[in-house]
Amino acid sequence: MLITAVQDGQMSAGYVTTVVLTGLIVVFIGLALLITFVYLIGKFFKLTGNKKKNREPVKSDINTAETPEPSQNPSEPLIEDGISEETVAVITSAVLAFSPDLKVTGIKKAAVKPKSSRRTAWGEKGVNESTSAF
Amino acid sequence: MNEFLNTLLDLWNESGLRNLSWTHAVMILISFVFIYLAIKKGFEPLLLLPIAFGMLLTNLPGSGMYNPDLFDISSGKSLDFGRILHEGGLLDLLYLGVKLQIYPPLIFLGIGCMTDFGPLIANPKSFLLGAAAQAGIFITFIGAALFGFTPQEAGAISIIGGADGPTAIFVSSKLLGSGSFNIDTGTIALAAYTYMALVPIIQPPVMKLLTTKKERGVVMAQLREVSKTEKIIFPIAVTIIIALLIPSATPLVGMLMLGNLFKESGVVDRLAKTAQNELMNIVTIFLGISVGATTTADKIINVKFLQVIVLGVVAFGIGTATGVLFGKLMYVVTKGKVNPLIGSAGVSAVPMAARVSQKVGAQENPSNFLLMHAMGPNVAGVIGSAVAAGVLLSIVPH
Repeated sequence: MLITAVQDGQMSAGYVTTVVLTGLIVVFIGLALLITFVYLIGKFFKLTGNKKKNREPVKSDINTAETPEPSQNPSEPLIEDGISEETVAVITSAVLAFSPDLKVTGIKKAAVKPKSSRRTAWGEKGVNESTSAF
Repeated sequence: MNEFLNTLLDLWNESGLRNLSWTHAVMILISFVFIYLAIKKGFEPLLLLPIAFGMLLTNLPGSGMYNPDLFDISSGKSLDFGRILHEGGLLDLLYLGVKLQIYPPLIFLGIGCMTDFGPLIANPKSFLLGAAAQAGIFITFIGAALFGFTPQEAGAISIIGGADGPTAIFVSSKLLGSGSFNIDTGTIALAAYTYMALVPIIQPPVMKLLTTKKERGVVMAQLREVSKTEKIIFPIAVTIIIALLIPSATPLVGMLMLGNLFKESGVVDRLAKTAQNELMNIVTIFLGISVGATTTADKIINVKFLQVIVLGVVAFGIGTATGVLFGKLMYVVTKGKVNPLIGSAGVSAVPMAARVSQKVGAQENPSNFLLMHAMGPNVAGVIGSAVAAGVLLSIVPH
């Protein structure tokens, strides 16, 4: 320390000023460095994200011929890949319940596949939890 | 018959009742007040309750659970670990975790697992508010100097302004670790946690005083989405940058960021769950009860403790004010896009300070949701107070 911390049992004014100014400046410098880093990383990901987005439409143009024609029946909902019939049924019934203008025009009965496992859903979850790490 | 009476007399002489002084009685009453505040008023109960009970245990004469003389390292003595292990009570052994600065970084590990730095990454300017609110720490250092505290005591008192309990304990146990002082870690922890519990009472008047109705009503734009990769890079980068700049902040920042990496990586769910639940709860119990045990009458019933209490509230008030004032500056620079109320959340105290920003903002405009915007400065405040702690440890001799 260049400045004496204590003089006659009291902290010297010079020392106190040094601590306060150094403290504030270093904290601001440290966090300013973090701002710069986070900002740059954000910019980088935004740029790479934009590049990906720009590439996507080209891909979809090529795939247009392969994609099947949309259903002619307007009442039939379009379902994205990966969403099970069960989920669609639950969401549809929830929408119907809250939309008085919509009517059920027909009911399709789906075949229910018997589950191979005899475990209950809770049992299944338990097994997954304890074995997933291995 | 004589033998029976002598035995009774011995029992009486050894009993707590015989050795109970008025200072013990006052301390027991104070512990009752803190137990009441924790249970009935819900003031930081997770820590205030064990602290208050530790205070009760240590002030029951003859219990022997905590022996301050084992930790007396004044007049050039050093800690005698062998003696502590052989002669120490339960609380003496638990207190070693405080003395050796083990508990605060472990709590930071758990906090890291629970913290979402997304709002901060989405709006990195929030770091400035987190830095501005740390001014409370350094300005209080001046106040402590005026009250005649030593540099080490002043450093320990001023860190209360960081509104971060583990950081306050970490800094005070390091600064006050060797030598004879008028205050100790227990005093600082008690003041810090009490004020943290009082954030919803201390902050709103300062926030309202420094802002106009128009400023409080500013609705901020929605934050961008943050990718998982950014969230994974963030803790690693922060650790490297802060550790290189201020090495003494590494135990706190490093553990905070390790916890966050556990959470964001998504591959060590079991570790993340343990760090934020079981480990954090165990450490909280040990930390609370052993810190409470250090609050003996000679440390609390004196003018110095009153001065610590006054300086603590000043530190909080200034931290809130500088955060809001910097928020106002950002309001002007961005032409009204930043609500200055989020600046007060920069004092750390996660998530309570952010909730206060939300509440005060909602009073002006009930449809205004500032919470996520305030979480940015709030988590920046955690990093900021750890950095400020590192700076204090670097520049204050100990």
